[in-house]
Amino acid sequence: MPAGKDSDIVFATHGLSRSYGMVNAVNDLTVSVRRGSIGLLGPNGAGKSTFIKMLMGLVRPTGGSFKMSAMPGSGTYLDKVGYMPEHDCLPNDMTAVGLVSYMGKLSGLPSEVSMERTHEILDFVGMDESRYRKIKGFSTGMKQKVKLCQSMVHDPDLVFFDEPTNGLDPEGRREMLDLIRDIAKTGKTIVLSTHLLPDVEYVCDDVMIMNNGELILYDSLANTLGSRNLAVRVRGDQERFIDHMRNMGFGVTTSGPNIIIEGGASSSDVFVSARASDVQIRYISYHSRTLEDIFLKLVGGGG
Amino acid sequence: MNRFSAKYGPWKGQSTTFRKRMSTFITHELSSILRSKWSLLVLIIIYALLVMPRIFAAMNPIIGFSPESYYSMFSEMHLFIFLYAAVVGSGIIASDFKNKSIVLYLTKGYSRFGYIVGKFAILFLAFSLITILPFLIIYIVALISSDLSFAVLKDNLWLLGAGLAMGTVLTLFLCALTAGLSALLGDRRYTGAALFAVMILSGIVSDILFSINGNEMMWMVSLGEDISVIGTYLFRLDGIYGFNRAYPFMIIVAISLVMAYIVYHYIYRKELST
Repeated sequence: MPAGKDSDIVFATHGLSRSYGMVNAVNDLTVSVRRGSIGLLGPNGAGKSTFIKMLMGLVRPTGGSFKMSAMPGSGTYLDKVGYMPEHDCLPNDMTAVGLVSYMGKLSGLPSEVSMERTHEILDFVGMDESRYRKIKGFSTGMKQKVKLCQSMVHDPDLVFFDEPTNGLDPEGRREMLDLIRDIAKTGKTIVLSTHLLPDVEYVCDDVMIMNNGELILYDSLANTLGSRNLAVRVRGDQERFIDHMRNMGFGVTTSGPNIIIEGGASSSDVFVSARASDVQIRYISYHSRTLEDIFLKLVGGGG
Repeated sequence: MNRFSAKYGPWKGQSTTFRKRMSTFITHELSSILRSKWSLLVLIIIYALLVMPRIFAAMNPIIGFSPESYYSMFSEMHLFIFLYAAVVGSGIIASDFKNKSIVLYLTKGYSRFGYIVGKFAILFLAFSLITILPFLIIYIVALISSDLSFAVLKDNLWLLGAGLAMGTVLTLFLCALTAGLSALLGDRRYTGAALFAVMILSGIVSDILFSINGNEMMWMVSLGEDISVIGTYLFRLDGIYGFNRAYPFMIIVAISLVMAYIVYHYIYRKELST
């Protein structure tokens, strides 16, 4: 879990579970999520959407509970939470401005405020005169923007984005991620659910990884990626060199011909160890772990 | 540039009340279904063919306060009422399921309870336009056409109660049936067809059963007949039925409750996998 104060917790779950017959979509999930931009990662079927739907009240948990932190104002916690669903869910016979304004009013905004904020958020996502057109004529990218707008119009403190880049071309995807990143920068807590690792790396500060309905990691992205490692190739007794590095307190793994030295070793540490173990350094370079490496390692796809 | 801070700021105002949101919900949905050209067309046909002639007839004081006249108005309307229900109400919940916009409604601070009550209120108001409103118009025209004395009003006050009760029973039944079928079938075309099927098939089945065994109880299979029987009771007309007139009322109430439960199940109990 990322470091922080208890007052930063925006929602917490305790043993949250949801099963469908013999299948555990979400299994005994206990986590306290702090403010920030959180990437919810996992392969398809990991339980990400079910987890979010339980928090949004769409799916009933079969076990455990969750608690949203106190939200200001009257009404339910949903008044201060936004949700951008994964699937197409827009009524085709409404205009963008009509729908977003209507959703604002149902979320508790007074009529005139809702219309004003609707235009502001539609400006923000770059929707021009098309806002007055019926949604049935919209492209996927425009529909995604309308979905984002309806989730944001009432100024929520916490917003769930469920696979927001689904179906978008590279340009649209980048634009959507920029929008979400801008939203995160305003201090709102965002949870970005996706199976696309680069999306999380681009937008988020923290990462949660789910697999088979279980939470297997929740930490800051910086901690998760860790310090840069060194990749080294040697000529001579490789095992002796590895043992020596380990004796110096560094973690050592191998990856193909490379010896990966973890734990913040410097190049001088490597040369000291090479001299002591009588091997010759043939290659040395920095080796950064990617989120993909960690993800594959954690979900059992590699390493 | 940070687009967000440039054009979109926080809002720290007070959220509106549940009642205000429900009013928004009802107004928005009602205006959108009544703006449909098909709804307007059916409404105009009903008023032109059934209501207007009775308004003119009500100017004659003898017809204006005749219970038979009001009873026959409600009876003649059955088929048109179901046509109107099919056009106006069939998509009331089905459309939200079909385009999955139900997810948007249920993830807002506006509750599931508000959604269900709001949908019933929308249907009630929409259906009242062809049940309670025509009755009231005809009754008021009859009052105005009479000598407007307190005695006339006093003598016919029961008729006002009977007409309002008849309109309310019919409207509530239609609301429950339409909303229930709409939630159950999830498609406005199927719902519209089912509304007609329920009305027409129940009548056909009733006729067949009656012709087979000659038992008048078989008439109760027909929903149209059930509503008519309730009408004879409310308008104090002699029934030609060989059974207790409370039975059709119980059938209508039972069907309404089952349909209301279906709506409750689909919105409250059933999970949304969208």
